[in-house]
Amino acid sequence: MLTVKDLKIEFFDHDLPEVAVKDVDFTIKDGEILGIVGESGSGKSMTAMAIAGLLNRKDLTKSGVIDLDGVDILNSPRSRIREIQGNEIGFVFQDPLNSMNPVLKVGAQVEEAMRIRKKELGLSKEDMKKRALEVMKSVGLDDAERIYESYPHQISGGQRQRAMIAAALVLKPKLLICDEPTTALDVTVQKRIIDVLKELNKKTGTSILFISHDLSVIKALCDRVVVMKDGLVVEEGSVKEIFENPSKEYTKQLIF
Amino acid sequence: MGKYIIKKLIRLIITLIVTSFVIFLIFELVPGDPVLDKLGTRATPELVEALRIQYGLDEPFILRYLKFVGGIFTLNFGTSYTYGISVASLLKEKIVINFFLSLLALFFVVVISFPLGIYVAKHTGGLSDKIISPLNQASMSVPSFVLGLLITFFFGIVLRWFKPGGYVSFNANFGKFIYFLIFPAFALAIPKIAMCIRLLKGNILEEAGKDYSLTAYARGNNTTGLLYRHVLKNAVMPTITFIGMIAADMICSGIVIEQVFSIPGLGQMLISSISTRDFPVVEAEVMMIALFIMLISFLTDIIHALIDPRVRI
Repeated sequence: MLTVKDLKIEFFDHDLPEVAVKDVDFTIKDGEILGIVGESGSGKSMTAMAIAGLLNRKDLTKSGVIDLDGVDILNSPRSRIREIQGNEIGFVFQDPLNSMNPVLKVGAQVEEAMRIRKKELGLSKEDMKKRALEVMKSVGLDDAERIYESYPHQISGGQRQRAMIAAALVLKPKLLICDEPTTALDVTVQKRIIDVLKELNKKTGTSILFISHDLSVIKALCDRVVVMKDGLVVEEGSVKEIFENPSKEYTKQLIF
Repeated sequence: MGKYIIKKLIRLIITLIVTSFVIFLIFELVPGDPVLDKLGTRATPELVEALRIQYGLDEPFILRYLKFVGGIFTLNFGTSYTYGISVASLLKEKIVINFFLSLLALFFVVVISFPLGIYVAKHTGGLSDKIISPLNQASMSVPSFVLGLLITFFFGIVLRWFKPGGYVSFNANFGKFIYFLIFPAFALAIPKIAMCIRLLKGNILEEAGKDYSLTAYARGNNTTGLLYRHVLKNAVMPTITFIGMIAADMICSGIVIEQVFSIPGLGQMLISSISTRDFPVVEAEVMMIALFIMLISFLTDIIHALIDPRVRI
């Protein structure tokens, strides 16, 4: 469903081009969970942002191909990309507290992707609330009615990240991109979030692109993994292959 | 929210008590004796004693303070030493003038700086930004009274939109009273408008760079959606706080502006009553100014809490 080919991202620092990501190739099949692992500065987040159409800074140039079921993400007009964002691609960020608007109720933020498309979808306020509560419950927010009416600072970190996942899933996207979604959470909450993602994948067949610097999390969740370093793909393979038989020195270092 | 308002109200009352005490104490300690000032060379011990009793200055400090506090609530501040009439009747009209002048200026600040600030933030680096930014810089650095003179010259003398010095009392004609105040209020507002535009623009751009804005884009928002649904609520808060603070400055700058536009406001009275040690008048004036500022800051606190749920604790 997603094909990334020869992706190259450059930014200009004092007019000198600097390569952030180069020669990145990978694909995600329907219902697959792909992990990208690498240390900070490896270009993994940049790649994720580019796929979600979120790299619009003027000092960046992007080339190559990002194809999501026939849509050319890099070269489509912004209005077309906006139709996809939140609708076909859901995005979950690292820090759930900062990723939520502090002055809007959680419910309003979970609903937002629907509200933006209210006219096209023909949804009423009640429909949206119903769907929001449904998706919130599906990611393990049992207390969805209360959380719907709460502000982000009134709920726990784990609840916030679940709410963010619910917000990303509210329109049933085919691809969910998670950029280090568990890094800001403690270990027990981390594990529960991973379980939520696994269950979601199993139940709905949503493909997941999971970015992390933590190999143990990747191992617990993903089918395949791409290892990145300094903007380049070092190695790619199934989780089993990579963990049992890493071929590159860098991957071995990461594992041990 | 109700709890928050009550908390703020209690704080307002405490501040009011402390402020009234400080104001009263200061004029107790300030050098100069109103009785001796009034009598001048005619002062004999008998006359001094008689006047002291007449002014109530023979009573102990605490008793006089309590009377003063009681006066705040009943708007009875005693009798002016200089004019021999009640302070309330002396100041009533002047306070109304300053109140309307400041409110009008604040109104201009809000209705002009918010739309312009938002517009400039939305079109950063564009033509409007290139025109407004230097204009802003210039109007921030010119004091209000100079703007007052320019406005008098341009709108009063060249365009003849108003008659310089032609103040109309609000009792005579309220519409004309407000119309005349528009020009000095503008002079007061212009530097603050410039500051607010700059503050608001900066805050909008800052908020638009935060993580939640990226999240909003990832849900399919366009720039307008991001601005009105997400950024604005967060970005206006420092500006609202700032507007609360400039309310205080409005009163002080207003005292100068009154002179430029020949408005019989508080300013002239304040200066003359200080120099004649007419303490009941000075105390009442200072108390009224303090009350106005406290009320504005109380209001901004409430607005703040309405916008930001994190404040409502």
